[in-house]
Amino acid sequence: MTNCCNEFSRSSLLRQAVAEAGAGLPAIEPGMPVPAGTGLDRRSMLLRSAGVALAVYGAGALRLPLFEEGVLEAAEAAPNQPVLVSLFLDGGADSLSLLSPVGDPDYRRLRPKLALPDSGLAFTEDPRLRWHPSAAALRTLHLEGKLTVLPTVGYTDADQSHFTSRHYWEVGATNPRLRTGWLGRYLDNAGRPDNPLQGLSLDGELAPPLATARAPVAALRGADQYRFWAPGVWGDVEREMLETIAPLGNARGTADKALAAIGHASTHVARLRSQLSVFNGAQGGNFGSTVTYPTHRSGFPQRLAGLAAMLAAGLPLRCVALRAYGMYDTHSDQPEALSQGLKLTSETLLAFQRDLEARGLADRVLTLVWSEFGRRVEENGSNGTDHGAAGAVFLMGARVQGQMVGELPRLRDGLDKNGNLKASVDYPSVYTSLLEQWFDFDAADAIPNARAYRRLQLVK
Amino acid sequence: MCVHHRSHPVFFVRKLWGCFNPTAPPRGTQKALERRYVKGRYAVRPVVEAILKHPHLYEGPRMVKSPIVYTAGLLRAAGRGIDTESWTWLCANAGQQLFFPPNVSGWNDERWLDTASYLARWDIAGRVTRPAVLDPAKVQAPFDADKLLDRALEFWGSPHLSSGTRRALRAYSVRALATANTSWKRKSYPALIENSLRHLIAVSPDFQTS
Repeated sequence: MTNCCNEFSRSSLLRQAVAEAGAGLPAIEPGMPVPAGTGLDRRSMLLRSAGVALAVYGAGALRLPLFEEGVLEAAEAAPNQPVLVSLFLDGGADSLSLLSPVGDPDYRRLRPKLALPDSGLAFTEDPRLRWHPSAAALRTLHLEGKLTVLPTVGYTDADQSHFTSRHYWEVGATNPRLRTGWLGRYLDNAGRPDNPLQGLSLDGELAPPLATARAPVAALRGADQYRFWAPGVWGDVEREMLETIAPLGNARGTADKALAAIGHASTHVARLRSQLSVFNGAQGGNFGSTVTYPTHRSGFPQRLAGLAAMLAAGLPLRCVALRAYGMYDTHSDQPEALSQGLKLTSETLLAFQRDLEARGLADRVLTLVWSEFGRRVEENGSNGTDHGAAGAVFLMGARVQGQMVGELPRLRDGLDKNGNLKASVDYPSVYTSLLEQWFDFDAADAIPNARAYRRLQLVK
Repeated sequence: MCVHHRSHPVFFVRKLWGCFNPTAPPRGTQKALERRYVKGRYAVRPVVEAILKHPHLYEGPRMVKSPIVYTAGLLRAAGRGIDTESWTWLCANAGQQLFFPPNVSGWNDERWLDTASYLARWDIAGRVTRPAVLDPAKVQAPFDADKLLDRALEFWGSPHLSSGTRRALRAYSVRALATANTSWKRKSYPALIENSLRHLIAVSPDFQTS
């Protein structure tokens, strides 16, 4: 993280420490909020029906085996329920690079070094704007009507601390004391007491937007954990060996109770291995998809590919959260730092959408892409930009309206007193609208002061 | 105070017997063991010896070994002692963390096996065999299903296998050898198969029950 600020590095490390220790945070700034979900009890389990290793948060007094039944019941009760995916661009993404106002004369004045040349990737809803060359995949989605762009989303008197602003977005209110996430409160009201998959973090640790007060949620430890390894065995021999588990387990019949137990377990092991082959890379690492995802050592594309496979397998997911690849706190060397993450993220999102379409799931899944703030309009002296205010939000899916919500102001007179982009949309407006239009849920039960926020037409 | 409770010998004998046998002891055996326990001034060893010598242990129904017993048995058969602390978490994965039973009544010996704990036992078997794994570049194992099975059994001290288990292992060995369709596979696969047979023997019903 050579391009980011110290506070970003510290906050990332501290959040990681929280996730690992489940303990409170040492303060790094006065009044710094504690991330939602901090201190929630975490228990590990292997969810056998789903074949995934999970860290379950908020299990309360429920015995973990009860979740097996809860997950199955939830899957049967609502097989086609809508799913919201929250994708976080960590660090404060520069919306003026995602969509560059090359047609605004003040753009080059304020960014003499960083202003992007005309990429030729026109944004059809505002003639001043061009897509970043690394975001061509997002443009494809937009042209197909599957991407809604909200160019300036934020809140009044934006806090420029990564920690605080991110917290506000995560909990759905500018309240440093809130300890539950906005999606977590939705799940507390609309979720089940026995289905941790209803709120799933794909980053291996609890995602604060999913932090609940009562309902169990989970963090995926890896969809490919159910693997049988034998030392000194590989190739054809390994394959034949694993095929032998069931016949060997049943080789002595089942007349005896103990032998029956071995046979029963062996049979189920063989069945589970077969069911999970889609998750463990046995089919070329693409989770059984017909779509080609980008390949990257970060595993980010594989996380979304795995998510599509889990949805196709009928797992009862409702809210999913993960971080996008890339570091968006671009105080220096912004062109290169931004391009790397943006390209992989955009291309992975396009592949994910194509995958959902190929699997017949596109109508069920909506993806919200957000960052804790945008960046300052004026570049700094390090070939980068500093923390700003409003930033871009994207909504991806087959059922999004596909039309821009809000606007990018003229840079000459549309900035706030600090020279940052003014928000044309309050972020809680996005949340309240999604809860009502996507989940058919009364937003007042999840978003404080929900009535005060303008409703946006986001879903078809 | 505990050992002088009048129900203590009954409870103690049932509990200890249950560690080795899946069904309750015959009434006469129960009484005899209680007497031995009380007369021996509550010494445990004579009772254990009597249970281990009882025909019921060898001729009665089988029981699934607990993860600790299973692991200790494999280590002993492989000639290995406790040379790492990893067995602690490996056994915990298999459902048994010593001194931390799920409730005050102890472990439920009928629930040792499910798909997760089976995987953990598979891992235990792999950890036991790993130090002695055969390298196909250095070891030329015979291209013969029966000989490979016998060699793999030797690794475990040549225990007797039931006919069903032996048939399943031999069938596997034949199938695996049949996949060697090139010269390099014919040269290297027998060692891999011997490694895999050692592993499969360890997870066979014969080894997981007693």
